[in-house]
Amino acid sequence: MLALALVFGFSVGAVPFSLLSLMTGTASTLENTVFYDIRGPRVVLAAFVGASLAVSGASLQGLFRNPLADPGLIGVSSGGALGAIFVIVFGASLGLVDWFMPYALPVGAVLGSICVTLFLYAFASYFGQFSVVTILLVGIAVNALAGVGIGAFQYLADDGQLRSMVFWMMGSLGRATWITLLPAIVIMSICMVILIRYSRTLDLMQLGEHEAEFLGVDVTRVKRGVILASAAGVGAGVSICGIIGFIGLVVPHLVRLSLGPSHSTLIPGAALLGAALMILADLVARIMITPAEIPVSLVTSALGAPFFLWLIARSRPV
Amino acid sequence: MSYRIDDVSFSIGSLPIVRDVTYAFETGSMCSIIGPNGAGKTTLLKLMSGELNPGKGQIYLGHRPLIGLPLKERAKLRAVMTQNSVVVFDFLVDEILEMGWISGSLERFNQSRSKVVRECELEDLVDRKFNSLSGGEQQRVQFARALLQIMSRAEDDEDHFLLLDEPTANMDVAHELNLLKVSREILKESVGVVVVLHDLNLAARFSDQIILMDSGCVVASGEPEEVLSGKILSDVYSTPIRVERHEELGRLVVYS
Repeated sequence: MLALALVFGFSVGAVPFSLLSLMTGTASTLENTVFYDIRGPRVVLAAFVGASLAVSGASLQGLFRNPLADPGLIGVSSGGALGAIFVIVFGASLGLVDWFMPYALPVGAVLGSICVTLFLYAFASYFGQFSVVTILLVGIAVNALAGVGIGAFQYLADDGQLRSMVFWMMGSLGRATWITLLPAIVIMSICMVILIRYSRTLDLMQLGEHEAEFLGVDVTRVKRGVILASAAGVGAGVSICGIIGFIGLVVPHLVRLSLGPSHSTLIPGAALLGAALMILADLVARIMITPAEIPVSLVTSALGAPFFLWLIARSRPV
Repeated sequence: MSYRIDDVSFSIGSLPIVRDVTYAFETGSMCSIIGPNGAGKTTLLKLMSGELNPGKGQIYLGHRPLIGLPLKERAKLRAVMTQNSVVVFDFLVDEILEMGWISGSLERFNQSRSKVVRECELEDLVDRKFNSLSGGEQQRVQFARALLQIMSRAEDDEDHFLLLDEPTANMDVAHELNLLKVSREILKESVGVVVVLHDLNLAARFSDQIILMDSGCVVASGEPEEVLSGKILSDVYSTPIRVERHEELGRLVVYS
């Protein structure tokens, strides 16, 4: 565990360095500005978003007792995007006080994510056990519904709003500035700390909900806590960089393969690996066709989707 | 301490599953619940464990009603082994065992763990993945986990109950007998055992008390000699059953 953490810690640190040398070749006078104002926040954001998505994914998989739960697949991310877009389109007409405006977007996204997760949970528990099929089908429905909502907002939006909406749909880390970053980072950190503290309980939940209750776990409270924390973490991430798929699905699986399924190692491991992978994905997105960049969710989905297929293929015989 | 069921009924919709059951289970005694399929045995156990709430009546642990007890308190007073043993992710057997330990020092855990592993003959299984085990092996692990929950209580003389729902359903004869022997041994530690069993011979051999259920009601209860009569059993199971005392073995034997 420690060794892995060191390796990931190193690669997390290594990326800005390689970037730095990349920069020195072209314009070394700009180096400081670029590093502190553009690359810096961007890498920090990537780390936090990656960690937050991976931790939320790991916790949701544990809670739903279903290895295919991913914030993107089951609609939590699109709920967040819907919330964010709602704020973009109607924010001005909501009559919010000025100081609140920078926070309105994250709050909208967080609320959107929480609504979707609660709906998902209520819907799935109403029909008894969460089977893999139910949860994915419900996720498709939720994503479609969110798509309808987003489409409707697109119709209502003006030109400027439309541009920022497209950006949300594709996912990008390019808008990171320290000011917009801070509230989201605070929310994501709090959520991750909360989720880490649930790791023992999430382990017990794997025996079954009733079995966990027999061991003294207040399952209802745990469900509420994990759902709110993971949805808020995802929502906060979505509010700054849009929908980024598959990190929440792939990372927990990779960590489970190397460290085992116990949440006390899984969740911190997912945070580290999620951060590392996200930084790398963003790096790829930036240097593939310099000076332009491709949306980072293209990179994560290009890696994640085949992995998802492999997961399904692998779980068939069981 | 006693585990008291006081005039409890439970129905699903309009279909009664358990009807007006009153019974008191005592620590230091092993009680088997027997009866045909659909008699309400498992439901009765679920009512006792708190998984289901009775539609009528009350269940008491000692003098305290179960329904008012916080889950943490309940966990200190009773351990449950259900028929469900689905674990989605690939946990090791050792990790599953550790989940049963709800409080107490690491030193005591290690002692209790090695004792349980020895008694349940899990030496060869502890390092394996739980999901790679057979049904019977998984049940042995779940049983060991329930034992560890009992052992994690603060004092050995603190009262505790162990509720087992068909714990031997998939086990071979040797492990079946071993599980019930181990269950009998922990009775000494001020523990009471309540077990749903299908095998009448196992019930005859290991129980202090037997409850015979049919269509949600308790038809007969008492010591094995009182409950296990050919006449009552043939009646309840609607199939000819003979019960004889085997002099050489010194216990009742049930023929069907």
